[in-house]
Amino acid sequence: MSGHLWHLTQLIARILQPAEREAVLGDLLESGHSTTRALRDILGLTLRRAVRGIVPHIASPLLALPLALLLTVLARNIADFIAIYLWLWTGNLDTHLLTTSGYWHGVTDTAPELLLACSSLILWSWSSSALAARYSRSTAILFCTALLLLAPLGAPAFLTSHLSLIRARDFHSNDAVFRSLFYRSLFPCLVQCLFVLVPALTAIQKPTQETVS
Amino acid sequence: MIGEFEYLILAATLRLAEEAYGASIRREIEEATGAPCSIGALYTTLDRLEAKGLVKTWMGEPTAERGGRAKRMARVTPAGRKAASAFFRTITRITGDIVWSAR
Repeated sequence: MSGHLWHLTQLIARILQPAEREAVLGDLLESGHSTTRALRDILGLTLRRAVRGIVPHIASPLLALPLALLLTVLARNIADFIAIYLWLWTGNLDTHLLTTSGYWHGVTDTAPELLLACSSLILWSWSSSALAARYSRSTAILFCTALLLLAPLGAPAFLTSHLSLIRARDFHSNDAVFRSLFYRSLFPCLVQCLFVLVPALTAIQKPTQETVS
Repeated sequence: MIGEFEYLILAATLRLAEEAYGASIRREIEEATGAPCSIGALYTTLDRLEAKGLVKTWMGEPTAERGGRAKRMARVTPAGRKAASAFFRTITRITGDIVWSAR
């Protein structure tokens, strides 16, 4: 074999490990096929090798990061939803209000909804983390790290506006709540840590506990 | 259970015995199937078979006809023989008395 295509084939074969390159180029020479087919063969093999080398590295962030971003958007939405009721219930609290039946009616009416939202967040976070851990432990660690980093920062604004249909803090009637630094910045971070990060960490610790027992 | 292409490689390697290496296995498969066999598919499947412990490969001596390049020799392990045999038995059993000729 000779010519430009064979030179190109040899050049591409440099990507392969030396022993494999030697064997493959020898096989191509021995087979006596055209240089076009040799080039196609070497391209096919190097592509397969490249994919095998890259997939484990990109699959992990491709699984962990979107899950972490999605959960952060959800956690922030739920945090804002809870913040409004917390502000209503605790902001004007006094002994007289506690004796009012209307106040307790409001609490008992909304509390199950808030509990359901928090429980769902915990379950989604736990199952997402378990899914990531099932792929690999490093994926689960990446997932938890992303959750930790996103807790104080939140998801990027464009993502939040695309993924959220209704955001409590976008309504001017709720301005009084989100004017407070606690409800605006600290509370979402707290919700994410408690209801997302902690369940996620629990899910990746489980296999270790099982192995020990 | 092993796959169809894995079986082809195991069978070709067994048939070729001491002469089983990349190019010869490829030739054997192409002759048997009448279809081209890509080097990429052959080598990645050989790697997989080796990882499963069904085949053992090593670098042979360089030969002049290959431009002084060495061969990747292959040998089927006892586990490989067992896996190929199980695959063949399954195919034979499921085929039963079916006649594949076109009617």
